[in-house]
Amino acid sequence: MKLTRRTRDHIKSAACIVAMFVVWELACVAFRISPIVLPRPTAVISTLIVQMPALWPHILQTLATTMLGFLLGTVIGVALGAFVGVSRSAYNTAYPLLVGFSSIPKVAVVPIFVLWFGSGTVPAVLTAMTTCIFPIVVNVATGLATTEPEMEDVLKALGASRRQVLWNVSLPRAMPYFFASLKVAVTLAFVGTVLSETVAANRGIGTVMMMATASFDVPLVFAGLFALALLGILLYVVFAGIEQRVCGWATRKQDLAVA
Amino acid sequence: MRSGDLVAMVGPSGCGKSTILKLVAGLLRPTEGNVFVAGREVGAERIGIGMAFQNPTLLPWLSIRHNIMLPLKIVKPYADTYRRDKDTVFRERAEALLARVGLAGFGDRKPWELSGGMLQRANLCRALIHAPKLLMLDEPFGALDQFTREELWSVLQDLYLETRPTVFLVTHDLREAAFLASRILVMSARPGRVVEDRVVDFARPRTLETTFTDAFGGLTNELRRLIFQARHEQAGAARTAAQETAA
Repeated sequence: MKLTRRTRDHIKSAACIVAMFVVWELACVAFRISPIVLPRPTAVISTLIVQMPALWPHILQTLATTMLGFLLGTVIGVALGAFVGVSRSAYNTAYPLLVGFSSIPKVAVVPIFVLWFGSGTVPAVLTAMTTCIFPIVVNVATGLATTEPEMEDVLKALGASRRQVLWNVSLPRAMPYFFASLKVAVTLAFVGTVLSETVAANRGIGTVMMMATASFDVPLVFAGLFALALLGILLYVVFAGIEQRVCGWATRKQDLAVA
Repeated sequence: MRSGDLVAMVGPSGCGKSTILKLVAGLLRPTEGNVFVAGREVGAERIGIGMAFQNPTLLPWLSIRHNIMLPLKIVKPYADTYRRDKDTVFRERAEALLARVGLAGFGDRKPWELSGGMLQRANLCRALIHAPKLLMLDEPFGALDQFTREELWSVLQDLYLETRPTVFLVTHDLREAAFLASRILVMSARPGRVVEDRVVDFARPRTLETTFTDAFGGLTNELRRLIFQARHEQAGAARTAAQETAA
């Protein structure tokens, strides 16, 4: 059977990933590592499958919380990014604030949210939102601010208004930056959600992992981690797919030597 | 500049050719004085100038056709009916123009699929689609090889003769200036001044045969001499200034 180069590359990558788990499995067996310290991947996966009926509502909870926080974060992030990217003075004002805010560990913010809104879903949504805003703002702002002046000049000479330039040149030009940030942001939103769930919530994967840790059910903790990782990969793939459809021109541009 | 003229501006680099072009297009504001186009001060009212730079700057996310139709989306009166006409009248207009520059059938391609010469043809189409009264070209063929360049001279001349816009061409190619222009301005650098204003009256349409005539050769040689002089004086002035500082 003759395989295309692409397929062979995919198979190679998949084999490497599987090999990594095999090494993990073998290491656990060979060094007799206790499942309380590091469970074998097979044990984790079987726990994940066995516990799935109980885990499922928590997975849905975490997914819904993350998506809501991510959605809010995207809307606010794009608005802020557009504001910061278009105006010089907004850039100078907002940038230090944003950098400062993003440097704050989100663990420190969760108790404040709980104080304001009580424990549960609201602080989790807000934590997810604040965790994922920064990359979106930075990327959208960068995309807008780095538009080639010549591209804008062509429209300006035609008599285009600022809004028309923004709509026809700057925004489409910023799309690849925006989507690149979305892929990062969606995984960060998961981190935010789970963080908040481990501190103050009674539902969600974070809560499950917290309770499993308390009862030394380490395979279940790892099952929770696996579930999170899978969700993260899934959403990453979804957004990478949308990106490819919306701004495939940006990745294919590499073939073009003449700019 | 008179309406319908094709004025070429040549001169050593750094003499302010592109700056003048940007002033006229309203992309820069004059530090002193005023710029008038068609009796109105630039900036007061937008007149929809067609423009092409050395770098084609086509938008990579749009097909060639949509890139070319972009001015129709911005400039009135086309912009008012853009939604209605974009798939019918405007589309045909774009295709017709593409065919004129030898790009028939490339409307659906994306910019990265075209060569440099093809992109520059498309760039020319974009500058012309809305039939501008004023066309600004900033070394439009500067990055192309000699053969493509000479071919596009003829294409540009044809399009010019058809609609007779006022064209302002900035170039450093003296043969290009002599081939295309009805008037050539030679500039000196620092201070940027027009040192020569010359009418070119070779019969149109000019062909490559024209460029082999003695008169054509004489003109380009004379232009070359003028620019050499302008540069020489500039270098001399710089030397004197340096000597003065040293003393």
